[in-house]
Amino acid sequence: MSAHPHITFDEQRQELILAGTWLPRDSAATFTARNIMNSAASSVRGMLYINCKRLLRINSPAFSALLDMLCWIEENRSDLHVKIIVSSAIPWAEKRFRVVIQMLGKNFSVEQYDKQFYPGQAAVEDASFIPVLQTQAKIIWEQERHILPRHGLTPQMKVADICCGIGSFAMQVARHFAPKTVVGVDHAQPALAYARHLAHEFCLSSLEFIYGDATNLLLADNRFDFVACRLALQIFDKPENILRELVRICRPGGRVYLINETYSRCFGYPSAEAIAWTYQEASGLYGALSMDLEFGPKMRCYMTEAGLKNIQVEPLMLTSCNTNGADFADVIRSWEAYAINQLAKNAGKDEAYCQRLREGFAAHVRSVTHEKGFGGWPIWAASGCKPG
Amino acid sequence: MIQKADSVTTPPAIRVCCDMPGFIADWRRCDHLSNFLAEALNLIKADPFAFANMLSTVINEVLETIFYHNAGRGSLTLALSEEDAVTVLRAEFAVDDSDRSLYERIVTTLAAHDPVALYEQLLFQVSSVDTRDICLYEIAADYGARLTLENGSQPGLICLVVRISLNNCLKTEAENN
Ligand SMILES: C[S@@+](CC[C@H](N)C(=O)[O-])C[C@H]1O[C@@H](n2cnc3c(N)ncnc32)[C@H](O)[C@@H]1O
Repeated sequence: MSAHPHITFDEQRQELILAGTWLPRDSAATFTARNIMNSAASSVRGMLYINCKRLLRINSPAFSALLDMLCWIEENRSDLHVKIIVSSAIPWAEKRFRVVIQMLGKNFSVEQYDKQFYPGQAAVEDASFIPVLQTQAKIIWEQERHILPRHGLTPQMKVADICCGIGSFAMQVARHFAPKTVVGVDHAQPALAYARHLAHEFCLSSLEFIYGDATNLLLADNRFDFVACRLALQIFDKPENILRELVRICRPGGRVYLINETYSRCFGYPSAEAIAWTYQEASGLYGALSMDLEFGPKMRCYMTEAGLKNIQVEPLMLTSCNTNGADFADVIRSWEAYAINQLAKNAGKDEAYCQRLREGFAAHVRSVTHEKGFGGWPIWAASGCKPG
Repeated sequence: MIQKADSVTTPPAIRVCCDMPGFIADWRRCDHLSNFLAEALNLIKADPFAFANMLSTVINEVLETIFYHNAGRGSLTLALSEEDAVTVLRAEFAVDDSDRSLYERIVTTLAAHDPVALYEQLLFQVSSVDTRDICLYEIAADYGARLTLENGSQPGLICLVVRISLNNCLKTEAENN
């Protein structure tokens, strides 16, 4: 059977994959597509998936070809279920499919795959996460700005910040590194709304913030010189799927740049033990949502497996000596609020447990604000080159 | 069914004029023009990708219809503007009598019936309907576009006006409920 630029059939997964901008001139131009769809519809058993996660646009002749297949299935394959998978980042898709699916029988359904697609999603996409990101952004940037040139960030680059959150990094890059463009992508609407508001207020015009899923980016291959993804591989349960996309959109010779933590190793003196207990526990609470806040040292392995070369990893250690103590304390307080109000509550922890958690956070605050104390937060920065 | 042009018309944000024989010489012009217009208007939007994706989908359906039903002469003028929170596309071009009555029929039928029911009915009348005529019903049913016809600026021209609230289209299912 001939290949088609917009339709492939994955026999093993019983999945028809539709992608790109499919605008045939008329019904005759859908001949090959119909062949592929018909042979899929007649060969599969049980369930047929129609994956439209990256189907950017479609016109009526194309839609009609698809509908003919669905009608054929309805008439001839009552044993078969069909699930059409769409993305909430492509606004027309759900509306267009929903109307026809209502007319077909109960064996047909449309699903927005990214409604609930990773375990920690609800916690991270909630607006209550924004204060955590705000306070962190300030103190990380002060250290991070010095290491970025070593990881390949120079002026006039096309920069992507995938999983950009509230866009602080994208905005700082726009201010300090004179990029050609910066594109931020995230799947949390409240964070994006905040990012757009700030970019507008600060008149930063080379920035664009796009809603989307980092594992199915709608950005072209090889488009960026520098692709950042910060503190995000550690919260997504399949980091390799995001990393694959980061590499894809990076141009050959460009660099993919990541930062991730070893959260359980946050430290401080005095009260080192109380602090250690609290962070070990907090890391476990995130772990219960399938977030791996110990991902930092694993980056080299993942990046190597993703095909990156010339990988550099270095500590991005924030301590009470290189960071303003009051700002650091704000960050710790935002972690505390989030850990107690969101994580511990959801995990059904009792008051005694919460109290002990609080004590560790309070001790950490003391260690970073007291003149004789010392405390820190270990983050790791890594980057690798996409081979040419 | 042809209405009088609005007495006070908001000036178009973007206006493109091309020669009709040139437009219908290449099918891909529908795609190129719809992308160009959508992206130009959406530079100022909060989520340019989502707006442009939605708007170009709608404009493309309109252009594909015009591609098939026009007199093959004169020019095609497209004006895209925003009136309150509604995006308005005005397409002006020459038509023969049969094409004029096709547009009139579509606009009249849509005005008199529930667009979703109409569209579903057409969609499942397998093969009796030419898919090329279904586009305008589709945008009315799926995205809530409102279609009207106005007299063109000169005799022999018609102006197809498509109004669509992109904000409503971009709301999630949950927000719409
Ligand atoms: C801890 S925050 C970090 C945000 C930002 N990079 C920073 O450093 O402040 C992680 C972000 O990743 C986003 N995220 C996680 N998985 C994602 C996915 N598959 N697609 C898009 N965004 C995702 C979340 O919505 C969240 O905003």
